[in-house]
Amino acid sequence: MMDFLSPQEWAALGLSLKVSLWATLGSLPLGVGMAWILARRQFFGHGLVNAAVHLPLVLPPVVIGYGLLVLLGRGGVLGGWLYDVFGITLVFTWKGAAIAAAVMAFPLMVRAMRLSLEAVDRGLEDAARTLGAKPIKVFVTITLPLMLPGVVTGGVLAFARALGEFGATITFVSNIPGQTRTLPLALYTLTQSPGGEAGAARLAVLAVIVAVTALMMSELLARRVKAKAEGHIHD
Amino acid sequence: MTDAPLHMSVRLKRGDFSIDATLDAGPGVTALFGRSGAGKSTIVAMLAGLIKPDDGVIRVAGETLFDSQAGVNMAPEHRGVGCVFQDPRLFPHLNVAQNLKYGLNRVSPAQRADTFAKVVDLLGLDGVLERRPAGLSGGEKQRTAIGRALLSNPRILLMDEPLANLDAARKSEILPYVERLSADFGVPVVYVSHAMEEVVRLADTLVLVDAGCVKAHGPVEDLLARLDLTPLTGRYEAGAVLNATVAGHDDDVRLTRLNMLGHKLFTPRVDLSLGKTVRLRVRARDVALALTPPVGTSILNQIPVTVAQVELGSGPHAEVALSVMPKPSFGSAQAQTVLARVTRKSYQDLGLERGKPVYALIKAVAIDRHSLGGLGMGADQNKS
Amino acid sequence: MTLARVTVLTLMILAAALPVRAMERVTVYAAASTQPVIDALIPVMEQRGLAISAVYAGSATLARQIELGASADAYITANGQWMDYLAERDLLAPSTRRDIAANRLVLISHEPLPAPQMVFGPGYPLATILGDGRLALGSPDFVPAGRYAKEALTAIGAWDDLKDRLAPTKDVTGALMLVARGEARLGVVYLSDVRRTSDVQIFQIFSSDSHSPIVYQAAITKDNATDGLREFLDVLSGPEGQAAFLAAGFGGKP
Repeated sequence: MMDFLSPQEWAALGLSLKVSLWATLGSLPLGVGMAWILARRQFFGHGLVNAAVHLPLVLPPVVIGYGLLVLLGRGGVLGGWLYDVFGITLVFTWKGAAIAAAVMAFPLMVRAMRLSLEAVDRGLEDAARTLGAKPIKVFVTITLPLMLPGVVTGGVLAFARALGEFGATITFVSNIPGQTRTLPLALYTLTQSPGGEAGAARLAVLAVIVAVTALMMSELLARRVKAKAEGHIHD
Repeated sequence: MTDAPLHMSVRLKRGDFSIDATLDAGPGVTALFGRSGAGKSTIVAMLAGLIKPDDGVIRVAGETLFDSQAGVNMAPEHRGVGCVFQDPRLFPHLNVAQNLKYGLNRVSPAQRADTFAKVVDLLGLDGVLERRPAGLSGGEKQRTAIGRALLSNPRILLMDEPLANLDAARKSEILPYVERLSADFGVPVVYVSHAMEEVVRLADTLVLVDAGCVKAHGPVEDLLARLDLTPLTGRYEAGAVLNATVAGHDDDVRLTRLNMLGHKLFTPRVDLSLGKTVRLRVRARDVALALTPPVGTSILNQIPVTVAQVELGSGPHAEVALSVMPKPSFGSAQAQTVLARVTRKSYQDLGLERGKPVYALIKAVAIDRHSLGGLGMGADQNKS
Repeated sequence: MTLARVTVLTLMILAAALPVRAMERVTVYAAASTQPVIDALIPVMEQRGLAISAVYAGSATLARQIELGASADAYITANGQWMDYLAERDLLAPSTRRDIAANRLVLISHEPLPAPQMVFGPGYPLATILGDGRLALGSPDFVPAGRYAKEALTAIGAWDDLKDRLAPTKDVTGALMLVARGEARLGVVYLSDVRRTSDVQIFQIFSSDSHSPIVYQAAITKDNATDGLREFLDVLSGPEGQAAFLAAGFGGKP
């Protein structure tokens, strides 16, 4: 079974899982926050913010990767500051790969979360406020539990998207084995070499298995969460 | 005035819809009555802090919740206003006990257990504490909603048509609970309704709302006795409210005898103990008039009254307000009013002008159970 | 019919019947790095009745697509390996394959770096100069420029020290960009790439012996040979094409 893949390929798989997991978990709170801002707040520039969130869906991934390089590279606005103050480097590291994956997956996450947030009955939130709950308490005790299915869905979609992320990643953090050579990059490498078809096919099968497993697990989880929110399961 | 339970004077304009309402509520139950769309729910939402008035003032127990001049607009969570809405708005992911306790942090820790037990007992929620809202009946949901609002230690309780979504059986199941709220918890209640039976049964003060404005404001009996207000209170259902005490029960014929200012009134049997005060509504269309008390008739209640006012419309009807004078032994008590709706022809034939003494004939069966409510009722109540 | 209508109708019929010089339309799949040259030659060929639609991508990608049946009439590659690949599968028109240009491999940097006074050959202290930075290059696994870079670095004995300090990119442009942004301290690109940005400078030029010849080849795909296409290939290897290559920083055909 261990021979199904070469050691480098196992490394690519492991790296992909690590990068995607961190990308998803790290952006979950941001996704919830952004979903809330877009769903519940009217302000000047709302349309602009919404468009900005969706940019990774419509722009070529390489463009996003380049943007990340400009922003977060050592010579970049934010990246330079991060290095000078905290000694943090993101280019050429798995953390940079996680950020690239997170950025590309963000619109999918926000969309799913926003949808379920908008389905939460505002009358319930009003009732909670009249019962003396401050807006934060309302959010944590009422809104969040009721939008949880959307949070789960958003998280899974983001994870799946992160697993498949290629263009922005290779442009931002390049293709360094062990650090940034995720599964899609390893797959691409094989397709670009004459005679690499068999290896590419193996990796593709693996990617499909991982994705399907993740989706199935999340489906089960989402259903359970939904039933709990609707009051059909007891604690 | 400054420390009245509620004083509000607010204005709001949204497109075609505008509100200009001034009202004061005393302790006890104040009913906001009006047609659907009259603006009652909006007024209540402004009181709760869920809608911001364009301009005006809202004061509860002397504390200013809203003042457009001074730039005060207290957030709903600080107002101490308990709300019960038309739909129960129970939190679906929490069970009944958790729903009830949601606002309990506003009760001092020492009293929490006791207050919780008291409310659960009062509303009969013992058996359903572990259940989720999805597994409750309509009546249980609304009782839970009431309990939840009570347990948030409100200074004033707002109830926006809480019984509107319930069928008649559920309504009569819950009305008694609501009746006891104000008395047992000592919290003033603002009760919105478009159903006169509820108002008659529950309210001490009545506020009539029409097209966003307060048209009249005063004790229930007084407003309902006024002929000029019947268009607002519902012409067809118009009727005066009388206060009486239980004098005795005739179990063999299943009737109760009431004492109204010394006059005797028969009604279908009610489960109230002797001496209990009762409020009843007598529909104008159920009251006939006679110059002399008829004999050999099925109408049990024949009360001597004086014609106070007559109003003739364009149709065949005549609305007559009749004054019931207290019998000598009740000398100090105030007169009460009964409304009668007769034909213009009868008005002419009987010569019903002001001051004329006549008899008001009220069928005992016309006094239906739904309009029989106790003022400050105790443990025994109507079972339906 | 009015006189006006008759006139218009007659003109339309004449226009349709006139022998317009027949435009031959072809699709050319070309390696991305040759884009400036091919783009410059397209108007030239249009004058001669050949309308070229050019598709630019990596040599590997294009070759695979042709193998799978893409409708390419001609193929221009930066790497003979992929031309061999197609030839082995009998996808090329016989005797149309030819060299058309060459290129040199250079080592670039973002800022000027102190260059030790020695020949750029075996023993050159590249690892020291690189320091804690990285060397950007096209992924040696699948980018031709990267493969040449690996050969050249091996030839000067620096490969073993540097192979864990690399930033392999998706294509040579990616490497150019990393150096231009200052993220990678050094990079290996083609000489023709240097003029594409003002943010890099040549640090050293690899000697031609240190790597396989970087030769650009063109060929017509099987059963698609026409006079127009043959003329195009002649132009590529002829004075006009060569001038265009040189102007873009390439070397002439070997």
